[in-house]
Amino acid sequence: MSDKFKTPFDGLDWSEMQKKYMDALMAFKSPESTMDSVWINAMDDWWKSAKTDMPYESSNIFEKVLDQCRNYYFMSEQFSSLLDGMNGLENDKDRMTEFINKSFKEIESAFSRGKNTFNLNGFLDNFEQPIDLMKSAFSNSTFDPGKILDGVNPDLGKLRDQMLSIPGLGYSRESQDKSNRAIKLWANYQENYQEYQSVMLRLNQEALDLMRDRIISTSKDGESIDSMRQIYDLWIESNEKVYGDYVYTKEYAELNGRLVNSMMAFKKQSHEITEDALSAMHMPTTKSMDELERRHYELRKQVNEMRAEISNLKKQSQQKDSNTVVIKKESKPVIRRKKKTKKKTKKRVTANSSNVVELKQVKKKRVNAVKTVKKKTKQKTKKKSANKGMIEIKF
Amino acid sequence: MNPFNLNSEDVVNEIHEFNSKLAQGYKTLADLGEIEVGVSEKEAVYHEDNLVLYHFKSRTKKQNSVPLLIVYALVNRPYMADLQDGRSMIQGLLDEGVDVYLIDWGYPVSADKYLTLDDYINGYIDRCVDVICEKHNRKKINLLGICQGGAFSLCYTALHQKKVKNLITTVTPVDFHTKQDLLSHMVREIDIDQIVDTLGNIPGEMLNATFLTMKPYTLMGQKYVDLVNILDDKEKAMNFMRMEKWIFDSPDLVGEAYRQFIKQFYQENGLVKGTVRIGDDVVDLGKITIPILNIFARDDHLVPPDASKALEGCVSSKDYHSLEFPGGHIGIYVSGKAQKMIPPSVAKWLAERTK
Repeated sequence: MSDKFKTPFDGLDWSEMQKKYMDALMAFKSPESTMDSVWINAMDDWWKSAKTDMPYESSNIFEKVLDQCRNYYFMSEQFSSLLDGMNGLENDKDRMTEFINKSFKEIESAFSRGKNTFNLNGFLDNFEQPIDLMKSAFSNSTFDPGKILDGVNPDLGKLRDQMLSIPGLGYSRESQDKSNRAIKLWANYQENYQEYQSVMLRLNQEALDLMRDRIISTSKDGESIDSMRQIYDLWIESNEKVYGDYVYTKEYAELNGRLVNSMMAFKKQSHEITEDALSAMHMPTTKSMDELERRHYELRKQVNEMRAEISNLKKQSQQKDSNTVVIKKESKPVIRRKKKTKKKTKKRVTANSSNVVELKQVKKKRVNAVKTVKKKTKQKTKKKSANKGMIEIKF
Repeated sequence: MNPFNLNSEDVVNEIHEFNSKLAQGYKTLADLGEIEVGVSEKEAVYHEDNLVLYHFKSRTKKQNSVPLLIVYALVNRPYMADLQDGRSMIQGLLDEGVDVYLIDWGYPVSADKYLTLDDYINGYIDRCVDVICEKHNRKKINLLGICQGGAFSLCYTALHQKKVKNLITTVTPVDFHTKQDLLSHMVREIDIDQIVDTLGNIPGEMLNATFLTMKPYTLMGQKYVDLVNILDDKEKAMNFMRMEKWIFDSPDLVGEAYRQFIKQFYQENGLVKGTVRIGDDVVDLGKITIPILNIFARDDHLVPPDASKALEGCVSSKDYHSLEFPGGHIGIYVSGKAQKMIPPSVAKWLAERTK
């Protein structure tokens, strides 16, 4: 890596920039000012050129860092003017409190002009997806890729009323009804999403109020805030406190439930519309894939059950075999005793020839038993050495 | 008195200093290279579908004769228990003479979406236990569950107690309706059937978003500003990146299993009520009589301590011990403090019960 980037905004004259920046800020505090700033713009310009030198994984993280740097810079700028205005108010508690209150109102207003109140790496991104999905679902459902919803925003309420007032007619009645239902669900989702957003905005404002109160009480406690980083941390803590208190309420659980449920209801309906379009073109649909996967799952389950059954049967039969071997092993001394008696019987061989036949049979059985045991031991050793490695079951 | 002991010039200087660190951070991150995770040597001893059962190579001459199976959660990846040298619970256990196995659930695909909790608990886990028992010629093994894997281990033990000698649960939710359980609170009003019927498997990103919204300003904001301050240290940056990789390495969740888990455990609180049904069986924690070590984290925001502590009142084990770790849900596996506390405690507790 080259050392060409000494600082992110290399080449800028910082003292000059600071002067220009402060002058501009104090002279032109437009109510329209948003999160754009000298620092943020400089950082963005630098990142455009630096991005290409970084591996993807690191660049992904660094972008998250830069997103937060934007917040940090924005706060720094907002508080810079507050800090300058505090000069000379140290001895007038009332004026100081009044000034802090006024400054916080301005900060609040600047925050509310920012996108989604504050950039938290796509805090609400998941909930924004249905808007894209809405467009794509309807594009897929029509053979004319003219995107029937293009140009619909922002006056969707009007479109909804117009479209839903037309009854389904003719042979495409069913698909018209489905589309109407999808639009209704989308509108419902939009309402919930807006409600969620406005609650988040309210919480952000409450967090700023809490932050202001904490700053004022800092001086009462005889403590002080010594760095911008402390201010930023205080902002984070205040937000987390306000948000944390709210998410434990029933109101939040219901709001979150409504938002997620309405989003899913819309997604489900739009899937259905897409499925119909695919089906009409004889394309594979999710429904048919689901059915295949369900059958596959059932087959897998049956195979597993049969495999378990076979394994149990094998175990049982092995156990039976081993019991037989044990019995034969236990019978050994008896055979020996018979052997001993064999010598004696040898003398009486002529007297009782049936004893000799019996003895021969016992001997043969014993030899066979030994053979079986040897064979089984050999098989087991072979199996064990095979099991030593990885056991693999594949479908 | 002025609450601020700084002026706008100080702010500019501070930002300038911050930018210098950011520049250094850029250089560090660009030079980091591959982020490697998982430190202990291991061998795959069993495969089934996406599941792999790993056996870790021993690091001591003498080992506990009863192997330990770690059952990880279906959420995120199990290398969190073996993140890096010196920050690995598994490495710690191996150093203490524990013979460790681990279930890696892999990344489910669409074809897995019908797998149920029965398939996971009475199927996969049971077959892994059988493989280990056969390999070691034992009838019982030790079980250690992590988070949701702990809940699975409890169900497994209740249903197959004859195969489990000792049970260790770590940051395991048991009572899902405690006051501080935010996850449970967040899913209370959600129509789980509709989610599963719509999405099939649940995307990992969706779960991540849920976890992050529990502390959004800290986890999505402050954390990255803090990072700038450590980016001049390559080792610290690498540690951060490993954790970051783990956090966002989220496999999708199998639809049916998710449906059953969220409904029965989170919404109905069935583990405590004794209503959880796995296959044809109802899980009765009261049937568990084997020794239990329950480890929970004092500052856990995902599984509050009370949610774990409830286990004591649900099981019939006379030999029941609990251990409080002074840290959070992840710190219990990766922090320096945890390395000194958790593996030695687990190994000692197991050794005392394996004589």
